[in-house]
Amino acid sequence: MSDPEKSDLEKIQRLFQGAVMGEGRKYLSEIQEFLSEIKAGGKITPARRLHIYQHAYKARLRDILAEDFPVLHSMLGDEAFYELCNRYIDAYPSSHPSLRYFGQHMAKFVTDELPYKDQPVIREMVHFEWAFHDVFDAADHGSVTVEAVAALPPEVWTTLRFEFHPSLHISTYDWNVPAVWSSVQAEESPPVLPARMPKRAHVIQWRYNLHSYFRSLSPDEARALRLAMDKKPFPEICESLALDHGDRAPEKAAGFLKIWVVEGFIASLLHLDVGL
Amino acid sequence: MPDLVPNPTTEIKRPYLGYGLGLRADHYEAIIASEPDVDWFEIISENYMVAGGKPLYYLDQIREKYPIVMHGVSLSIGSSDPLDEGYLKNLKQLIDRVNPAWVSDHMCWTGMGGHNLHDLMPLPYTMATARHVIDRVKKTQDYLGRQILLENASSYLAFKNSDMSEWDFITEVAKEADCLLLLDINNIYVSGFNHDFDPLDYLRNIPPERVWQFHLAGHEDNGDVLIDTHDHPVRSEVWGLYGKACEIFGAVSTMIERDDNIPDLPVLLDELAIARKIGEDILGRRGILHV
Repeated sequence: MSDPEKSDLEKIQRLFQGAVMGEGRKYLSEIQEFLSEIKAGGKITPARRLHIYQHAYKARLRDILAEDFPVLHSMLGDEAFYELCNRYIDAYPSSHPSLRYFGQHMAKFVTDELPYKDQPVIREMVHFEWAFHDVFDAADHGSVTVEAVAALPPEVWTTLRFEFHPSLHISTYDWNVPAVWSSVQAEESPPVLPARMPKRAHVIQWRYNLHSYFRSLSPDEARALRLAMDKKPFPEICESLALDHGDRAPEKAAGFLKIWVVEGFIASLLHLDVGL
Repeated sequence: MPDLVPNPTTEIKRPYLGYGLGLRADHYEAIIASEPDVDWFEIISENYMVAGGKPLYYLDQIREKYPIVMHGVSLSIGSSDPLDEGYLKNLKQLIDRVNPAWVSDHMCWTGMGGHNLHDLMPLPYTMATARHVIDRVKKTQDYLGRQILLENASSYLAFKNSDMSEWDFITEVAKEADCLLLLDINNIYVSGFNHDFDPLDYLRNIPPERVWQFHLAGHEDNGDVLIDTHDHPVRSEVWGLYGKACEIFGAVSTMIERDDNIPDLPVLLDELAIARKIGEDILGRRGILHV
C-alpha cells in the first residue's frame, strides 16, 4: 500500500473511531465528516448506522465493568454506576487487545475524580474487586505441604525463607469492604452497609486449587506475612513477633507458618544448602 | 493440523472436524463431567492469554479430549496502525501451548492510534485496502509460521468509496495473501439484509477451496436492521442459508457461536444437532461421507 493509500485508510479509520468514541461528547467535527463517508440509501440513515457502532462500543465496555465490579455496581445503584462507567470509558479508552485489562485504571480514576474521590469506600471496593480479578488468573504454582515443612532438618530453619503463590495479594482497608462484598455476593437482604471500621483491617486474597479466597489477618500475622513475602528469613519473622509474644514468638511464627502452608500460600521453601 | 480430507463433490481437500461449539466458561465443568457429543471446540484466543488459573486449567483438560481451534478478536488485520508485535507474540505462545487445528480472526479492524474499540469495524472495500490487508496477512502468517483463517464480520454501514463487493474483497485477500476463510453464515445473512445484497451471491462467489470453517449464530431482528448479537438461537432463515452453504461448499467444519445469554450446554447441543442433521442430510444425498 502506498503512503497516500494508507493515509486514506488512516483518515477514514480516525474519523470512524472518533465518531464512535466521541458520541455526545466531543469529536463533533469527526462525526459530521464521518457521516459524509457513509454510503447513503437502504433501510436506515447513515446517522443510525453510525449509532449502532456508538451504542455497541459503550454498552460492551459498560458490561465488562459491571462484570469486573459487581459489588461496586450494587453499592452505587444502576444510575450512578452507569454514569461512572461512561466517564471512565471516556477517561481511559481501551488500549489493550483483551477486555480483561479494561478496568485496570479504575482505582486511579476513582482516586482522582469527584465525586468518587470524596468517598474512600468506593476506592477501597474497586481495589478489593480488582485484586480478585488478578487473583483469578495469576500464574499457577504448586504449594508446599505440611509434611515437607515438618521434614525440614533443624539446621535449615536459620536461613529458611519462603516463595509465595503468585496470586497472593495483601492490602489494608479502613472500611468494611470485605463484609459488604460478602453480603452482596451472598444476596443478603438487606446487605451490610458500608461503614468505617474502628481499626484498619489487613486482608489477604489468594487462589488455592482454582478457587479464590480472602480472609482478615491479625496485625501480628500481617506483619509476619509481609516480612515473609519480602523474603526475610524465619528467625527475623520470629523477632518481629517477640514484642507481642515474648518467648512464645517462635511458637507463634510456627503456628502462622502452618496456617499459610495449609491455606496454600507457600509455593516453595528456600534455604542454604546444608548438605541434605 | 488435521489431515486434508478429499471432498468428493468439489474435489477440494480441506481438513474436516465435524460439528463444534464455542468453548465458554459457563460450560467448562459440564463438558468435563459429561464429555458431550461435540466433535471439537473453538476458543476465543484472548481469553486464554493469561498467566494461569481456571481458563488455562480447563482448556488443558478439554483439549486432551477434543480438537481445538483458536479464534481471535484483536488481530486488527485491517488497522492502519502497525501490527501489534506484542499481541502476535502472545498469540504464538498460545498456539504453541494449545496446538490448535487452525487459527482464525476477522476481516476487520478493531482500533487505531493505540486504541481498541473491541468491536469488529468494517473496512472500505477497495483494492488499496485489499493490498494493505494482504501485506499484513502475509506478515502475520510468516510470523506465526502457518496460514490463518479470516472471518467475514457483520456490518451496519458501508463506505461511499468502496468499489468492490465484500465477497470480491475477501476473495482478493484470500487469494493474494494465500490465507483461508471462515464464513459466518449468520453474518452473511445479517449484512445481506443491512446492505441489500443477496446472501447467495456472496456464497456463490467465494472460492470454496479457501473455506475451512462455518460459524452459525443468532441475531436480533429490529425490523429495519439486523444486529449480530450472538445471544439468540440460530434463526430459521440462517438455517436455510446454511443448507445452501453445505450444497455449495461440501463438508465444512461447522459450529454454533453463542456469546451472550448463554444457555445450559444441553440447549446448545440440541441446536448443534440441527446443524448436524441439515449438514448430513444434504451431504449424505450427495454421497459425501463424514469423517
